Amino acid sequence: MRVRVDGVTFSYNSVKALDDVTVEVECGKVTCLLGPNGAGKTTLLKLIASYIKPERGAVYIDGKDLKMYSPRELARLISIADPHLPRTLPMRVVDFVLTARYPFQGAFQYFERDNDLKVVEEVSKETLISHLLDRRLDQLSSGELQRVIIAAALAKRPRILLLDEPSAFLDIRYRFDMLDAIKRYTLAQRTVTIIALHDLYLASLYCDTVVLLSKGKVVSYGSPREVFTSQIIEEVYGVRVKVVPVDGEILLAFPLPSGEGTTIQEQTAS
Amino acid sequence: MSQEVISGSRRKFLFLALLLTVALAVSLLFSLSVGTSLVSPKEVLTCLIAFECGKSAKLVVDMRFVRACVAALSGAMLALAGTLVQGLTRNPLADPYIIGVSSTSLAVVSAAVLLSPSVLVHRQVLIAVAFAGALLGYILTTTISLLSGGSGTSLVLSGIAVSALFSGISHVLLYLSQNRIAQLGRNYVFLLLGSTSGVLRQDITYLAISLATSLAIIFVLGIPKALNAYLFGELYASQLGYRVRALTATTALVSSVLTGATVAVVGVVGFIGLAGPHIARISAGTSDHRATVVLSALTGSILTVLADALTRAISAISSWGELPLGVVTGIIGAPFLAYLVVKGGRG
Repeated sequence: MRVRVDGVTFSYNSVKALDDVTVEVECGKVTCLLGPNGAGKTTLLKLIASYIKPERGAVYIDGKDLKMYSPRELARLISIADPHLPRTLPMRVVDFVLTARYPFQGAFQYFERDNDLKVVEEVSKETLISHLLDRRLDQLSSGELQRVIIAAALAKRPRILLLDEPSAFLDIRYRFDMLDAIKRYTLAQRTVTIIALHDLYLASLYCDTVVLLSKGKVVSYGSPREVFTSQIIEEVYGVRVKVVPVDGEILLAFPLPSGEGTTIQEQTAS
Repeated sequence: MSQEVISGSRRKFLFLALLLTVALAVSLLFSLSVGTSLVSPKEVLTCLIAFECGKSAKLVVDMRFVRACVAALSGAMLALAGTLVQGLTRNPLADPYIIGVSSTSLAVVSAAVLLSPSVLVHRQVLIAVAFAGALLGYILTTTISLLSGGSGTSLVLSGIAVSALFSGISHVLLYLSQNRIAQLGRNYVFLLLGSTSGVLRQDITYLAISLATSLAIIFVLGIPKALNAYLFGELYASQLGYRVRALTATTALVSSVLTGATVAVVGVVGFIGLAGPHIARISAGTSDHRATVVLSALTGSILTVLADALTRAISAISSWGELPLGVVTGIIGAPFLAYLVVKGGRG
């Protein structure tokens, strides 16, 4: 499995969100989309999920244009997880996660089969939500909800896994647990996994490839080692950073505050 | 874990469906025996099953049978429409009334009555007119809501605006045509607040056809599952392979058919479209539409049959004549809903 985004341009009401973006993503690797707010990360994920159509260019899965796939084929192939989940009507966690199995059920199949329940069982173990299954979604904490959203994305057993900010709202332990689970799934199932992330440290730990976006364009592309240089990061984010290598492989990128009101400033001043 | 949770809620759903079906049968029986002349439930049963009954009892039961069936069908339809509309707007406060569908439907019916009062007797025409009105209401409300940003709140607000405007219009139109309606032996208040007193035998057929068609569409197209997915956002539903535009359009159409048909036959009966879905959701413990679609229809049906029986019971023991159905559904439904809300909120 291989995803190729080829010269894609997309704009919201004449504001360009993506401008001639070309990215090639291999399976069995975690690819991360990084970039400041409004860089086009979510838009790129939605384009690959075929939720929005490119104005120019095309997205190919295994060399075949997305347009040539039926919605049902895509529904079985691709999972996209959005951290913003409407939950105004009360649904239980198990009901939500089970919806991910709908694309695999027949048109006249009213209830789930045992097979679907088994998948949900496995997934809830992987994402540590087994104890939440009979709770209502509106009674979860934001961290629990985040794990449930990741669980629903994995419950489809997708070949292409697209995650938007999976680490938002999670505490440090669950950040590692969730990204571990995602990485394990990627390696075991040889999926194409694309994650939009904000945390540079997590990116350097978990991403095999990093795509750095800024203002709808690909600024830098490669392994975290290649992309994370203070010069590139400073240019894109407009923030001073200090990049520190640990054990030769992992990089810690420390953003340094420039404004007033931080403790560092106060300490240096006193 | 997931296995136990799901099989538990499956059992609960089947149990509730069975319980409510029995309760509906009992309510129907009760409804047939209550009125100005009391017929014992036993006599009603022999009348219905063995076709052996006294001439007077037969007359009474026959007449009430039509009313009870119409009440049962329209209650089911309103509650079903409510469930669909709440799913569509992802808003537990929505009902066919709040999003303006019933009042536009009534306004168009009133206009038709003013132009030609005989439309009240030509039921096919009346249902078609009411349905067109309901659809118009839905289009109007969603358009205004989209213009103001398309959020759930804006939908309810624009629905309130549309429904206030059109219930005003229908009040005026019905007031103007009250003499003509009275000539046909009807009271115009009954159209405003709902009543089964003017129903005809063929209404059962029209309502049954509308309900059956709607249910067929709902189940054949798999709308319950699609709405489950749609609750979690348009992106979520579309990544599960659902065509969101087609889904929302079909669901709106079906709820307009359901609402329009009931408005044409019994007028505007409030509260059922809100209480039915809520009672179903709270008793099932989830908004899974596969369960709530069935349970809300049964609940709405029971509530309406009981309310209708109550209007007749009150007219039998008082000198007020018959109360409008819409008033009574509120009186018996609201305390029950309040009880469930309090209980559900704690649990």
